[in-house]
Amino acid sequence: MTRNKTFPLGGIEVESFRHLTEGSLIHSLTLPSLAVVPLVQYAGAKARWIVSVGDKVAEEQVLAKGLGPNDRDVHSPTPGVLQEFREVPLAGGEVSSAAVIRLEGEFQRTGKTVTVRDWTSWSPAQLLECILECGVYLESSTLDRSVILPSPGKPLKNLVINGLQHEPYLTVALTLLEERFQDVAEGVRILKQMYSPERTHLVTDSGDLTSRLPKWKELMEGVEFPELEFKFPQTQAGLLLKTLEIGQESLVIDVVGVLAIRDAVVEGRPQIERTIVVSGGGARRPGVYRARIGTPLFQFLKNSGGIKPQSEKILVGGPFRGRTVENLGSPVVKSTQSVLVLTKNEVNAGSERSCIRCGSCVMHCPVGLEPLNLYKLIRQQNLDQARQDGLEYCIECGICSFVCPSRLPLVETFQAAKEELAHE
Amino acid sequence: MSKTPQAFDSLTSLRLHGTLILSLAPVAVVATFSGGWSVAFVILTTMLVAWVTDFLLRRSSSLRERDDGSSLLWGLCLSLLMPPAVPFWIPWAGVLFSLLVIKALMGGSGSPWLNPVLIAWAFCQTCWPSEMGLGRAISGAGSAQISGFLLEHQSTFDRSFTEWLNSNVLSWINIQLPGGYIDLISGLGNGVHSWNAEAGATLLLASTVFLLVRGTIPWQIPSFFFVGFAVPMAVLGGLPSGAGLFAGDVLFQVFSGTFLLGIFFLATDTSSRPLSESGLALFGLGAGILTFSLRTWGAHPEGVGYAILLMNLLVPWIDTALKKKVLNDFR
Repeated sequence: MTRNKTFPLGGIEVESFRHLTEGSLIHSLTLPSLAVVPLVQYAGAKARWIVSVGDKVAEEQVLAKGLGPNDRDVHSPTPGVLQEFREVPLAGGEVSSAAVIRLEGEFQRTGKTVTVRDWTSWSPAQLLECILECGVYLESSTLDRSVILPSPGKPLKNLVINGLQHEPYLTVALTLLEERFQDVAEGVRILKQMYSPERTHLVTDSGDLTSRLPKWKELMEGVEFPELEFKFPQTQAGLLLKTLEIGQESLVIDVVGVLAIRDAVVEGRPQIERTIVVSGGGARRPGVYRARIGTPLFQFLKNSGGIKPQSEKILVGGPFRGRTVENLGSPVVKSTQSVLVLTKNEVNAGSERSCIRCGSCVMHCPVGLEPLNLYKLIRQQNLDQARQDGLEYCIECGICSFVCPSRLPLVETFQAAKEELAHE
Repeated sequence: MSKTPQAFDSLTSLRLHGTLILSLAPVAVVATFSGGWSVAFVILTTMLVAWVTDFLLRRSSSLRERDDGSSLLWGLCLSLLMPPAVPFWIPWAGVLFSLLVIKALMGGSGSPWLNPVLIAWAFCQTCWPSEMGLGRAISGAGSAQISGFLLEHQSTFDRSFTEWLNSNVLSWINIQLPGGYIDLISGLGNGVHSWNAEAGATLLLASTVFLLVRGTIPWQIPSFFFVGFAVPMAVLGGLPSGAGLFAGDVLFQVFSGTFLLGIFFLATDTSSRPLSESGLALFGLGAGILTFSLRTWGAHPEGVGYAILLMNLLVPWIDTALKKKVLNDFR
């Protein structure tokens, strides 16, 4: 058997926890009777409200406008009345202003027959405009920045569709490729029409590509299907391009994003819902669910089966780069890709001890840094030397902290030091 | 906004040291069986002295670190490096020197770049050479000089087992095992072992299989150490005794003295080994070749400890020389 491709240095092979959500169909959850829609839908989002308290809003009506050209609009997930603006905590602790919408009135789309638009005659610029109008947020595996679609016109060498599992438990892309492959194929055709790339790649790491390949090849002509190892952080865009041995100026888009683009263009549907995986040893019914933006997490968790008493920690995102949910009143937002309920045995928390110099962080660093030495330098306030040793190339994947047997706060220290360096 | 990993690998420093202590426990039991209750006394008290000293050190000094179990492991390793008849206060003195001088001055566990156990052992050897069994071992003759364990003191168990092996298994590959080896390897014979660790060699080997599979100790050090030692030993090891080329007794060399404890537990000590995979391999290979040289031509019969210490000296250089190139050409 030939070994699948992977990136050159470090990384870690961890349990994927795919079996927890294996074969799960996507269930749509009940609409929230009170939707709490935050202004900040993803890290760094900037927008302003264009509705006021007491307004009647329609399903999919624009509630907030993005400030800059790269900021996305926020649409109403349900029809109803804007009851109030409220400060809500987001997962991870930031606080954002949020519109609270009480469900009432009539739906424009939900429950109606789907009308499909013929986009094949649209120009690339028209397609891009339609995608932006629908507030499509494209998540990126690169340091929490969202992917910004370039304006069409410049010829694109490589278009990469990222169908990899980002982290343990996060099986959304796998499920979507299984259930909505035709739609993914249509999304890829839209992107091809926009950017006419020389080569298009759909990257996966599901491990059983051969059974799917005939069908995939039929639906996606002229697309290459490289298969990668499941080895974290293989989805990090830069490492992914290195693995594929193609240039860094390629466009990488997640399967989730391709589907959002397809829904925007084909059905004119703004991004008001999200496909979210619920998983972890503490979740009663692990699976993939579709929920409206603005659904409070307590309601989301209740509707998706609830949690077991031995749960220790609830988080959004994966175990490496996710954030702890401190308040279950936090709502689902555009960047919520998962809600994990982990037990004590899955978290493995421990108290900080002295570095025993075991070298585990060095062996697993995908960038080739020596985290233990960087940590020592930063603790000694020697930022210059840390910079010379490559601190700014740290991709903050979190592996060093994950493997550290002494539980040193490595990646956290690097983030703070990088910020300090950036302000200098 | 800082984010941290939300989950961690199950291995912690405490668990790492605990696992190593547990894997050495059977060796300590066999050493007691072979050398008597005084051995158990030496092992347990050395560990206790190490832990109490470390506890007081952590309390009194500015180190302020949580216990990670390393002092217990160091105490156990040091006591296994002792001859069975050692006066009990010698390993105590070694432990005190290692903790109070090396660990305290260098700034806590993980900071000394010389193996703390071997520093203590070298200290004991230098201060009390005859009690540490040096005189006897050096005056020994032929292949027995490393160990003082005489193959000629063959037990009845050894005699019958060797006979069975030779006629039923080894005859197929046309090899005959001389007498005495089963006693040496199993730790059960009549002979007196020179070192506590020597007695439990078989069990030690068994528990390392578990450690290597789990990845608790890096595989690079023991395997390259073995190659660096066994290959030149097989080829040149027979020269000093006049037996000529390809006459080295690798089996005896590997199971005698503290070789196995050295390659699996001492050379893999986290604070004094290199960081990268290639560094670990180079370190192991170098220590292996040095052990061979010291054992074959050196004035010192048991080369493992000093070979590892000498390679420890090179670790800062190995780490610099084999530093990985930082990937800086991507977003």
